[in-house]
Amino acid sequence: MFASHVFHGSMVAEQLACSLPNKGDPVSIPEPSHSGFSHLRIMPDNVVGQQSFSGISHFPHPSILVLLHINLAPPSSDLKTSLLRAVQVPSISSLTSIQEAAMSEDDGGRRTMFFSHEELDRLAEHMVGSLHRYRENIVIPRVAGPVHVKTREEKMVEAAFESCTFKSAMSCVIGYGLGAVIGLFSASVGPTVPLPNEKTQTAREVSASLLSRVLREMKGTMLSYGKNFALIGAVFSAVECTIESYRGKSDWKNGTYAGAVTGGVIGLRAGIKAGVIGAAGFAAFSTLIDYIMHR
Amino acid sequence: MAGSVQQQMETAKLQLVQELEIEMLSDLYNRMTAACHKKCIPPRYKDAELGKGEAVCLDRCVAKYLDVHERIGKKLTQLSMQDEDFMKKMQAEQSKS
Repeated sequence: MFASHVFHGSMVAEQLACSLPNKGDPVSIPEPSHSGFSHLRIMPDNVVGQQSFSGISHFPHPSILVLLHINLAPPSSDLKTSLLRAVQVPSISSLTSIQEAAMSEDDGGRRTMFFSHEELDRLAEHMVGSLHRYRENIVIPRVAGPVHVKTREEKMVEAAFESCTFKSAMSCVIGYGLGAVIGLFSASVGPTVPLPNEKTQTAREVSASLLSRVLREMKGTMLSYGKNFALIGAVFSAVECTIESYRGKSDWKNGTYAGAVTGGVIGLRAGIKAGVIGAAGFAAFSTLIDYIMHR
Repeated sequence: MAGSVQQQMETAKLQLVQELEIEMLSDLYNRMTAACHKKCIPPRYKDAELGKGEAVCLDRCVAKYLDVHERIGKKLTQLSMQDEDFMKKMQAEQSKS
């Protein structure tokens, strides 16, 4: 009946082959606001089936708390209704149709109650407390394309690739490579190898030793530049990632702060004043680069 | 005959509970998404991907939202149960006197 209206194509409609008792016209449940559910299978195991139908005559109260509690109190319980009115929770209009379904047919002025108060309390606690569910039971509304629930391994891998340590390591490696390239160019511009003594060697040996010395010098420069850049990259990346994780915001200030710390660390090798100037300079440089890259 | 009515009531109850649960969860999801999006993601987008800070903020927002939801719900249910016991006591006293 109206189960099929709501759960079209879902497993619950296949499982429940029932119809509500004593309904006159079939109640049409309005469509949920989102376009469809991927799949659903919800087992409230501790609520239903434990208390038998008691047949107490109560008049169901029309106000329903959406997230927390369902109130089917008799009209004389002013305390309960006043408590509910104090909580400013708007009721979903579609729930009133469920409430109609909860009321069985009027039989000469006596209405039968669907849920006792204890059942409702337990139901509310179940809905609020038990957010421990199997992953297959998650209902995610499908808005713009199919829903893709990531597996645990996928999430772990993604977390590893986005972690601060991995980013710092990547920056370190790339910094080393970049430093090596810059060191190579810097060394090739101005060789500082002194000329050898011409008296003891032939021309060929002189040129060979010069070449080997120049190459050695280049290698040394590349290594030293590489180490410097690797250090800068690692420190900057680690500090920026940590600051961003702490603040919880992604804006330009993270780069500035990280640049200040990095410049300070590097400049501190040559004294405090150099450290301060280095911090300011590197912070400005980092802000400029950020601005250019993310304009 | 009474047994089958009982069974019908049970399945109807189960159905109702499941519907309510769906409504509640989907409402929770929508509100949580709206609230955390408003708090964590500034309106000017520079990038299609979530930055590290935004991802961290969203994690924290979801955790806090669910925690708040659970605590307040439990508190309200507890208050309602206290109110229920009070009402029962009053009714018992009334019926006695």
